[in-house]
This record gives sequence, structure tokens and C-alpha cells, in this order.
Amino acid sequence: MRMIIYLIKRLIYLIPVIFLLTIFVFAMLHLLPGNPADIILAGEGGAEDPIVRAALMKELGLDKPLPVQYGIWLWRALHGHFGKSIYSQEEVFTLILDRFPATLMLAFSAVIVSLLVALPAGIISAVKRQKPADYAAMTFALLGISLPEFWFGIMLILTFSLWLRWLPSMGFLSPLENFFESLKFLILPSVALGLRMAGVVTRMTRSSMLDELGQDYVRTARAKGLPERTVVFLHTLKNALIPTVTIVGLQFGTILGGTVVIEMVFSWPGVGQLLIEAILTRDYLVVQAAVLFLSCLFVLVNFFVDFIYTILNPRVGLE
Amino acid sequence: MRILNNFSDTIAGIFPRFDWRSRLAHFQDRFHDFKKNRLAFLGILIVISVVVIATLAPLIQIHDPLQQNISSRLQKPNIEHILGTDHFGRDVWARIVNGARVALSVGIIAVAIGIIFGTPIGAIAGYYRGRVDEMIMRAMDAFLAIPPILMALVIVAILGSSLFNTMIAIGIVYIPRFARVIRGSVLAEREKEYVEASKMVGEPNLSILFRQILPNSLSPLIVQATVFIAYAILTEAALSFLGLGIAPPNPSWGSMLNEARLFIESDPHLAIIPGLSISITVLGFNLFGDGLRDILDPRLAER
Repeated sequence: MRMIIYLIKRLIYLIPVIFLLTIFVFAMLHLLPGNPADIILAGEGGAEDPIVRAALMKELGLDKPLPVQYGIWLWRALHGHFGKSIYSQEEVFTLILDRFPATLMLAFSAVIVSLLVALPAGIISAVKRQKPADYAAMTFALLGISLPEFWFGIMLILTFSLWLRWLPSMGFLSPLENFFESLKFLILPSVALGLRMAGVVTRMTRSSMLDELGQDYVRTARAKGLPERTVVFLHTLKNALIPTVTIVGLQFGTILGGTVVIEMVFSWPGVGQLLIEAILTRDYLVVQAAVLFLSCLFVLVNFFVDFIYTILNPRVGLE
Repeated sequence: MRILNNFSDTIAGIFPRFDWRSRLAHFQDRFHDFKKNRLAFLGILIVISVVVIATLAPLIQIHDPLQQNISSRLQKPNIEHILGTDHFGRDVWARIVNGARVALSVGIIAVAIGIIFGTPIGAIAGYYRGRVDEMIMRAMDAFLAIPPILMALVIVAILGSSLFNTMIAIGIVYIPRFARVIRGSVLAEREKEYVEASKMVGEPNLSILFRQILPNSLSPLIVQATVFIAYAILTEAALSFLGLGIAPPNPSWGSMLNEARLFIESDPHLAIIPGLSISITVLGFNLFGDGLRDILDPRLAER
């Protein structure tokens, strides 16, 4: 019950945050030096006729004061109308929704791949402290946080697509069409995207495992003669995962940012690629909506992480 | 010795409760440990090398990084062009060396912007607490909800591609992050006795905040700053890679990587070299930050 109250409180806290978020995203983009009307006119080779320009601005609603524009945009957004892309004339909402699954797929497989590597690495590292396994894992973690993901992605393409010819270098196949083939396209981008998170999580897991292993209750368990494996895996792991879970949530933001770059490297048809194209063509409505979607996704993931955190750490609701 | 005493007395006058003398002795002890920690030493070595290379760039570049020479394009490393040439015939070494300049300047200035603007925000939120704290932190949370690269991307897209705008964009991304760090430190420090003592003596709040609490909050700030310089370099590289940070023809490790993609099969060195440069530099800063954390936060050091 306590937990539910806490979660509801967190949910309520989200609302002003998302509200402020929409203001920021809107404000960021409406400080655009180029007036969208000018961009459209330039695209159609239109002369600089002030009457046409004024009419276009009126049609786009750009002649109204900024707060009013924001209000209109927000109201329409809540109904799912994010406007039309200046570039392709399609509904922005549809554009993003079409590409959203691809990005979600990429982001979540990056998280999975990264955790599959990082959690065992961090645990082994902590348990076999100062031994070669520890040093190897720490080196890996260090490289993970230092290498640029997009460069790592390019190097992966170089090795696995161009030299070894094991995997395709770009493109996308939906898992609904052919599951195993689609994995071939998914592996390299996921690994590249998950690299940084893997490094961070390895370090974090090692550090919190070491913290736990130094605790009194562990000494008690060992003194009782419990087998080492039970000691390690039963309680220390669960406790050590608590701070790690928070970090995973925070790192998801970096992953979402990374999808933008990785999608460009691997020609992955996701929201990130859409965003870059929209920025380059100054398609501001698409940019606005895409940034908003990705940020809201991040907020939701963090909320979910909070939820998991309360399960792992029952003391939380007591504050 | 006498000059040192005058100096230390002056400092003691300005920062009465910042016990810097014992801090210095403490630091000297820890520097000994630091030297023993070879990885951190490697980190500092890398950082110094990159700084030196970046500073001396115009002197050691040999060729002009912008000078195109189609007849000598796509050369492998040779005697005249130590690292070869790119697809426009520009010398790779010259571009790498100037790219170091770009990377370091963006890293340092972006972090500086974050600290300058983030510190007062975080300090005020942490010290005064209550409604002010809540409002500020809610705004910061909204900022932090936008993934860092996305925010920098959009800001650079708005302001236009240039070195200066990239610095500003990444700097803005860091403001809420530094605010958080400072707020955390201030929250911890304000519970301590010297703060209460100062209040009783009647010292004004702002004075307590800036002359006592902040100097004692330096350690996490410095560690975080090093790590953020590393991340700023990565972010600048990503932005330039996408064509939005430092625009060609100006050299930037990120844009060099982007241009190299077309020739990846025939001339992989064009992609490998800038990537290695970024990686080594960021690695250096990370190792340095790790080492700093070990000195400044000794309870974590025994790992």
C-alpha cells in the first residue's frame, strides 16, 4: 500500500516535469533564426512577396504571439495532431509512429546486450578482485566509456561486414517477417549502441558488489558456513543491483541520444534518422515532436525504473 | 617562506573556515598514492600530451590542414605525410593536430559554462531548500529529461554550425548536471557544525555559502568536471560526425570520421586514426578523473 502511494506520488511529480519539458522543447525550436514560412517559400522558389509570406504565416499560425502558439500546439498535440512535415507533407504523428518501433527495438536490444555482458562482468570482477579477470573487466569497462560509439560501430562494420562478411552493414528487417534474418541486422548496431552503458554498468556493479561483500551480514553468512555461491548470489546480488538499476535508467537517456548517431551509421530507419533529416531540412515540426517523444520515452523508462527500485528496496516508501 | 606566509595569510583572510593548510598537507600525502597508481599517471600523461599537441598545433602541423591538393589524395602514411592524406589531399596529421585543439577547447569551455552557470543554481537550491529548491529542481529535471546529445543537437541546429555554438550548446547541456552535483555537496555541507557556528556569529547567508560551503564542495566538482570534459569531447565528435557541430572544411575528429566513411574499404586509416585520437584522449581524461576521485575521496580509494 505504501508502495502504491509512493508510486502515485512519483507519477504526479511527472506531470509538471513533462509540462516544463513541452515548454522547453517548444521554446528551443521557436528561437529558430529561420522563419518556417521563409523556408517553405524558398523551397517552392517563391519570390519574396510580402503578401504571400504574410498569408502563409497566418495559415501556419506564426503571426500569433509565442505563448498562444505554444498553447495551440500543446492542445493539438494532446489530440495527436503534431502538424504536417514541411518536407514531405505527411502527418508528423504518423511519421514518428512508423519509425518508433524500429528505434524501440534498437534501444532495448542495446540495453539487453549491454546488461548481458556488464552484469556478469561486474559480478565476476568484484568476486575475483585484483585478479586477472578483474583487470580484464575493468579494462573493458574503461574502453566502453571512452570509445565513441559511432566509431566503434564503424569499426564493427569494417570487421564484420567488410572483412569477414559475416553480417550486413546496414539496413533493417522486421522481426515479424523473418526473425533470424532480422537479428543479423540488429546485432552490430545494438552492440555499438550498448557499449557505453556496458562500461558504466560494469563499473557500477563491481563497485556496489564490493560494497555489499564488505558488509557484516556477509561475514555472518560465511561464518555460518554457507557455500560461497549462495552467499554471493542470494542476497548480495539483490542488494548490489539497487544502485545499478538507477544507473541503467539514467544511462537509457544516453542510449536514446546514441540511437540518433547509430541509426545514421547503420542506416537504421528509426526516429533518430528522421530527426537528423528533419534538422537538416529545417522541418521544425518534426524535430519538435521527435525530441518530445524521445524525451517522454526517457521519462517513462525512468519511472519504470523507479518502480523496479521500490520492489528491490522496500525501504524506499518509508520516507 | 615569507612570501608564502603572506599569501597564506591573505587566503586565510578571505576564506576563514576553509582549512586549506591541512588540506594541502593532506593533498601532498595523497599525491604520493596517486603517483603510485600507474593508471592515473598514464591518464595525466595522456592529458598533458594532448594539451601540448593542441597548444602547439600551428607549429607542429607541418602542412596546412585546409590545403587541398587533389593530385596527392588518399595517400597511405609516408615520409612527407606522416599519417597520409584524405580524399581532398589534405594532410591527416595536420588535421588531427588541429582537431585536438577543437576537441580540447570545446571540452574545457563547455564544462566551464556548465560550472559557471550551474553552480549558483545548485548552490541556491541546496542551501535555501523549500519551495525555491523544489521549483529549481523540477525545472532541472525537465532539462535532464532530454537526452544530452539531442539537446546539444537541437541547440546547434538553431544557432548554426560553428565552434563557438558547439561550445555553448554542450555547455547548456551541462548546466543542470553541474547544478545537481553542487546541490548535492551543499546539502551535505550545510548540516555541518561550522555552518551553524557561522550563523550564530551573524554571518550573512550568501557569505557562508560562497566563502565556506563552496570551497569545501570542490572535490566532487573537480572529479565531475574531468569526466564531463571527456564526455564533452565525445559529444562534440558526435555532433561534428552528424555534420552539425564543426562544419567542414574545418578539422574536427568527428567530421573527419564522417568523411572517412566513404573510403572505409580502400583507406581504413582515414577512419581509424581520428577514432583512435578521440578514444585515447577521452581515455586519458577518464583515467585522470578516476585518479582524482581516488585522491579526493579516500574512502573509495581502497578498491
